[in-house]
Amino acid sequence: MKRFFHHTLLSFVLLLLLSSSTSCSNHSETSKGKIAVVISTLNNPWFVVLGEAAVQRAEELGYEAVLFDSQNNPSKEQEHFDNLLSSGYKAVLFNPTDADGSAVNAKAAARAGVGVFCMDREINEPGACVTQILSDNYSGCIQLGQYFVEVMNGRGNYVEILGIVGDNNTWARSRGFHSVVDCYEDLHMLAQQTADFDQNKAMEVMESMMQANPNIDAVFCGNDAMAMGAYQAVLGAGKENHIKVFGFDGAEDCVNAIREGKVEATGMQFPKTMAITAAELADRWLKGERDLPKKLPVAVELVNGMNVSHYGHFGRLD
Amino acid sequence: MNKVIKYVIFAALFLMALWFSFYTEPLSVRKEREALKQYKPEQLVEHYWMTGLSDLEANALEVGNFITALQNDSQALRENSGRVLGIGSNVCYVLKGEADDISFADNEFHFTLHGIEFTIPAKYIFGNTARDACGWFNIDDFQNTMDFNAVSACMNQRIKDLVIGDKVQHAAEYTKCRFCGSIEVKPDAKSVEELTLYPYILELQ
Amino acid sequence: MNIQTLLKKPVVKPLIALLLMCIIMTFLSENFATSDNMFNVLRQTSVNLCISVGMTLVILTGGIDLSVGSVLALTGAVAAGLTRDGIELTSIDTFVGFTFWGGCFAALLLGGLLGGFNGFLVTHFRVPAFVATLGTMTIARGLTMLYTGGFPITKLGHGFEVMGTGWFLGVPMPVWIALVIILFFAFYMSKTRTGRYIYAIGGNEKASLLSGIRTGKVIFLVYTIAGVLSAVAGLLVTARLDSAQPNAGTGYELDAIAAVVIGGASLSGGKGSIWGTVVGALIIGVLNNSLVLLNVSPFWQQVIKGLVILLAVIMDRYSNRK
Repeated sequence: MKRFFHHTLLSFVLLLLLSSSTSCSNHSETSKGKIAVVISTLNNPWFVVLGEAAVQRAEELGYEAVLFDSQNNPSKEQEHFDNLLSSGYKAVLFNPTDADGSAVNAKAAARAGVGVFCMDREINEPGACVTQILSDNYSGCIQLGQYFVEVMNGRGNYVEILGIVGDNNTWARSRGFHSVVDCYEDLHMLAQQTADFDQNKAMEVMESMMQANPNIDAVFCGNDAMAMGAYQAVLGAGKENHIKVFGFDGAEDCVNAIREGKVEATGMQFPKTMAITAAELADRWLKGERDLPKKLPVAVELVNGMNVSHYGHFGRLD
Repeated sequence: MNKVIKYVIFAALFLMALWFSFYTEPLSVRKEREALKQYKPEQLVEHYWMTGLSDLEANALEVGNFITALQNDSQALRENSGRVLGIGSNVCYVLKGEADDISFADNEFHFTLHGIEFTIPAKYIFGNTARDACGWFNIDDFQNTMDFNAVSACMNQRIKDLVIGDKVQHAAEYTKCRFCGSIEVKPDAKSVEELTLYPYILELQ
Repeated sequence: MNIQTLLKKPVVKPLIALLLMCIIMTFLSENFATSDNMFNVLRQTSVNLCISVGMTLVILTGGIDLSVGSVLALTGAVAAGLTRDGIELTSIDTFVGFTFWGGCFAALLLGGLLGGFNGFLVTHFRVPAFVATLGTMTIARGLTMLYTGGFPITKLGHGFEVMGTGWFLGVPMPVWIALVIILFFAFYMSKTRTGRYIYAIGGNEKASLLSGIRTGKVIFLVYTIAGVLSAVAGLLVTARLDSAQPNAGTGYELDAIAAVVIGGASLSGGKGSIWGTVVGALIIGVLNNSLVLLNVSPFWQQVIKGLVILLAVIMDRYSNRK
């Protein structure tokens, strides 16, 4: 019995020491308060940039900022909200996992008087958030669609790979694209599948679609990770000189791929702008300002072979 | 006897649970009720179009004034008459004027005014310019941006069907035009050479 | 029953570990010992508690149930779908609407059916429990994807809202539900005949069969109960999120098995208790909570959780041998 006591105690203390040494908290005694940055997933570099830019700006403004990873799981996200609401955080810079499923969490925060500032993804619950800072994906994909039509000369067969179906962004992008491309009768969509914004899944989906449809001329992917996956599939099938790949996001690897002529175009979203704006609005709100816009779109810029030299590092280079 | 009683009790509980579990109603009635809850951007667009066009034309900028103001003090122009959707977006304006050299080619009307080449698309009308320039719609009023974008689609469809409509059929015969429509310029532009116009009012002669 | 026999009960060891953890955490983080946080932990653990109770019964008979996570997802999705959209029978122009209770009832029924399917495979076809429940796990996940189309089912209404976020007498609803289940099954296992049979079968199935126990029926019942409890967990998860996610419950079977094992049960059956599992589940819950409060990177959290589970089991084996 005694030995058991010692063993348990020792092992637990060891584990906690280990965990304390790996923890990433910055305890600043003079901070203006705590701000939580809850990101849907840290598996995708675009979101890592979003989260880190938000943390950095919040810390620059004098707050203690902590990054939470929801691992694309609304349950995990709810646990984070439970914890941050009972730990005295004053505001949340929030990148939701699901437009409807995350509403519960935002509402709980709003009820507790914690300001919620959504970044990049929307929540279908008016009033739960103070401000939602969104990329204008619809307009961005209209530009992309127009360029697509230009590149394809208004004719050809294409397939579409969608992102997470529960994310409003997926549909905003798809609808923006289709609002242009569907006007041209000689452009045919052969198939539309989802790959959940995941690079590996997109590769598999593209391989299957190429098997089922041997005459594909182009593929439009809802984000850059999927575009890179689709490109791998196209490369594997030896069709990289024929099938044109289009993405959306402005991720580093995709922009490089455009530079090298592998991918045709993408839409540059500005994660740093969104994160910085969110942090600054939170700061204003915490200082007492209440007259903030409910939704704030951030324009998306088309990046293609001709202007790619101006873009990189998730933003403009100049 | 015990077992039989047990089964009877279970059966009774089961039936009670079923009773409280569901209800039925005619499918057609339910569909009607659900249809009323659906979001209809067409009604919204129609409302504003019917009531707001005259004000829109009255407050629109003459092309000449627009060019001068853009060159001299684009910031003031933007603050007074321009509409911006969000951070980094292009600035939208409503312009009006008359031209007498209108021509039609490639599904587009072309004319030149004050040195600017104007294009009015007749077939491929998309984008948010028409929705954002008029100022009738505020993104904050919509629960999600898809509903807001549906308004754009509606506006564009209206322009294509009613404003442009069947003018395309005799397009080659027209020479003069009077217009009032929306345009978009880059945030830091001081001058423009060509503009795409999405018309709210278009009269051709 | 004096203090000595009470202390010898197998639940005491994990309980002491749990108390030690709580004491240490109280010193390490100012936010741990608050009532808000305590209720958070309880609320978050309530889902695992429901599943783990069912898993305890299954493991006691020497079996295992890997399908609990997928059954959770499918039953949650069905409850949400029926409550929100009902069933449309176009051929007879009728709409069948489900109330919140109806949705719950349907979920429990479905959970029981799926559990019964597992039980049937194990008892009738003699498929090893691991394989049988693995198959059900995959089928149920696939059915969930089919039913939801990959979309979450949201905006579920008042009933789910109360179940997920409501409070009763100062305690959150999910905690009440878990508590009722725990009390019921603790009573069931210790005071009813079937409860004793479950232990007997786990200890020695052949001997139990020879002494007249209808082992087939008992094992079938055990898997059905696990299925129903997974459905309860599915309702809880759906209620807490106000949405049924197609990916819900992924990996939950591992947390349940961990809770049962940390609680002192043996995977070969016959040894274990409901209260032990409860403590095991609470240890995992407190551990999860501690790691987040201490700001440990999410990647390290996985590593630490695994280490703790291993340590708990090794401790148990070690002290038993002495």
